[in-house]
Amino acid sequence: MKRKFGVNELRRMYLEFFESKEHLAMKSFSLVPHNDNSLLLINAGMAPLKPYFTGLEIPPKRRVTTCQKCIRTGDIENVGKTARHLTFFEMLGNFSFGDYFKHEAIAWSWEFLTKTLGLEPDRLYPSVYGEDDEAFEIWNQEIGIPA
Amino acid sequence: MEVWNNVFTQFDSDGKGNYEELEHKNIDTGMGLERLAVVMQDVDSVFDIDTMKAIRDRVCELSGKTYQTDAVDDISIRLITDHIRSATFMVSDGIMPSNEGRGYVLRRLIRRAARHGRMLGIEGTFLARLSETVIRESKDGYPELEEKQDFIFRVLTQEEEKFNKTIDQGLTILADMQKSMEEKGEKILAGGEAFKLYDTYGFPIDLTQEILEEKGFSIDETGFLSAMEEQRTKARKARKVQNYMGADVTVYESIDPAVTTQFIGYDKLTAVSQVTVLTTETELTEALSDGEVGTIFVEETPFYATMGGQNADTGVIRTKDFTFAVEDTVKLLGGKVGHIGKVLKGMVKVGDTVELAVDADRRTAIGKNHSATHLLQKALREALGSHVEQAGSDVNADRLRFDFTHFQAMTPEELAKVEEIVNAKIAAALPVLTEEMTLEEAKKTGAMALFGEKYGETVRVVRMGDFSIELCGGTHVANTSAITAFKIIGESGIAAGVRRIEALTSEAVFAYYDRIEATLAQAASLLKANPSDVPDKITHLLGDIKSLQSENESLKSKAAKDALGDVMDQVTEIKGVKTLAARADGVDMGGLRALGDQLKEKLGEGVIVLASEHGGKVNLIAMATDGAMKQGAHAGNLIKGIAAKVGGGGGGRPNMAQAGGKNPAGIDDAIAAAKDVLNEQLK
Repeated sequence: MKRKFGVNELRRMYLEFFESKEHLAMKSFSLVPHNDNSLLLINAGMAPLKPYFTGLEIPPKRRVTTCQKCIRTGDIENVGKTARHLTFFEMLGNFSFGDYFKHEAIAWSWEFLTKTLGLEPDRLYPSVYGEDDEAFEIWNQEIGIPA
Repeated sequence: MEVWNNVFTQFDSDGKGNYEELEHKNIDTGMGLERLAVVMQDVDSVFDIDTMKAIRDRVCELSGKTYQTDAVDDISIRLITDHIRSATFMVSDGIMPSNEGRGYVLRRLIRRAARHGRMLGIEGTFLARLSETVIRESKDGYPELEEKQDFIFRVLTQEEEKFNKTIDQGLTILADMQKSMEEKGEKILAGGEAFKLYDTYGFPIDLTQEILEEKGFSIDETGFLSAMEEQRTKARKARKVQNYMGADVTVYESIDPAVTTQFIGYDKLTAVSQVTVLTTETELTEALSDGEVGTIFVEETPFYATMGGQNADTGVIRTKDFTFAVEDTVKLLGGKVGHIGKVLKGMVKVGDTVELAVDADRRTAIGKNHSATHLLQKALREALGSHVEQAGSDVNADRLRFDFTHFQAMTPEELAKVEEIVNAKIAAALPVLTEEMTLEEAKKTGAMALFGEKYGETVRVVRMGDFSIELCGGTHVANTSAITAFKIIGESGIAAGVRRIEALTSEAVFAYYDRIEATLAQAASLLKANPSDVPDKITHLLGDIKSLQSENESLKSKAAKDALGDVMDQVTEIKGVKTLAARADGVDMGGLRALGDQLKEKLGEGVIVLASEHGGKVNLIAMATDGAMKQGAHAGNLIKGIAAKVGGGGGGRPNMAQAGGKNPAGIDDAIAAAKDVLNEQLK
């Protein structure tokens, strides 16, 4: 029987988990994009971090984790009509700027879901991009998910 | 359900299907918090997770509805639950409802939520009360929500009230429209009418549609869209003629006249103060956010606004996570000082405590130029006389400009004298003292004041030793020695009896000399001489050029003579008039004229016709002396008579004429014909 974690609790657990993996937990950025005319409002966790990904700015640390407030209004007509659409949501993210790669990313996502949150491995189904044999190997060999 | 998405950035695509492995591989991975909560809390949808359910419940409480009893109500309940979250967070980040950009997104979210509140039967405003729940549920992760809660409530309520008024007004107008449609037996509302509701009264078009549909009516949508297009075209045209300043004047006029600003910048370049008013380029606002252009007003400012010829300060206004670049500072009626600029980072709202910092280097440079202007005015009076009065002044960080009454251009000696006086007063290290006194007292000190300028009861007097005393509100150096150096770079007349001096001080003087030195060095290197030898070298070169030019001239005329051979042999007499008609190839029109003049001199009296093939074309001239003319010779008619032979045309005066032609093969014919024409002319 898993515990029922609240939204605020889940947010904190995620950030703390990645802090324990030597990530810098940064505060959510403003919904107003900074120096970015391509975007009206921040719509994804990585959007305010673009300068770090493109190498335009040096990140304060090569491992960063955030819980970013986001707004997407593309589907505004459907909000309310369905129980799935939201204009406001929060995106949990962990980011590596030329630091760790697939092994750690996959292992930590698995660890957070199964150990920290206690989700049963049998109920989780990882899927990989069709051509990414490396990711498949990691899931299959290192995590032990049957093909 | 997908909860986690791992994105591996490993390859760079060139857009043609080729991928290159990246040197720095990045990881961008994450998951939606709400979705994760759906899984962890084992509920059906995001609207059932703990934080969202609290808002949903509050909507139900405010409306007296129960979730999941009526499908139509459920749509409104979910819509409000979602939209109030977006609106609360957007306002907390400084976005204000407006008609464009993200401000429009916010306005739309607030108005949709308000309308669905009405549909659920909620009366009056409710969004602020609902956002209270949003803040309570989210302040754990976003503590700023609680800090800004009063501001959030105020913005939401204002917009909601504005919308409610719009709806009430719109409903009345729409009812009138419906009535007249019924009277005329029409079923379709004209597009122009629907657009008027939407554009003039801000009534949402979908609401118009909905209400009409209930009565079995509809809207002429094509007409609506074309009315909208027409309006857009008009607006675009209007925007073109509206400039930045034009818009400013209007927005500043709408500020409460009771708002004033205290200037505290004579001896301070930084200050902490409270924001009293904010404006965008077009309207008053409660907040300014990242990237927006606008004006900030505070209670006390160290920023000097453009006044008395001194240019405005620039600098920054900031808080912990907000930065605003002040690009201009303006003084407005009623003692308000506006800081115009752009938000570089974060947000600011009315009531915030901000730190103001003037660009100190720039202020110092302006102070030096302004103090030097005072010294200049006094020096001009000493050097030129007491008729010198200030007629205008413009002082910025790069230079000073001073206009004054004087009736002729200043001589180099006068300019040197003025520079010498000013530099002597800089070297004398005079203390600069400022004092406030009544205008009456100031006049007794003999302070220079601007003729026709209005001064208040108390005035500020700026004194530089015993040399200069002026009424002035500007900022200055503490001692004239800080000006370091003074250099006039221009003196000119700008109106009858008004002269203008442009001058530099301090580092700008050194930079000016650096530029001159660099130019001189460049000139010297081109001349392959030492800088000090440049004038001598140029004198030599000019002498060389002159002698080369005269040598060139004599060579040219010698060449023309050679081309002609010993022409004097070819002189014949026609009816007693000496005539020389000959060809001299390779000579241009100028050379031909010079040659003609020479020959005329040798000939004494007579007629000369010369033809030359030059560059594939033909030049012809004819000349007649006074004596020849008396006998009937006419150079102009002569040329007219023969030009056709060389495929051209021309003419001229009786004594001298010229023509051009395109056919060199006709030259000999033309020369032969010249004798016949002349024979006809002569008596």
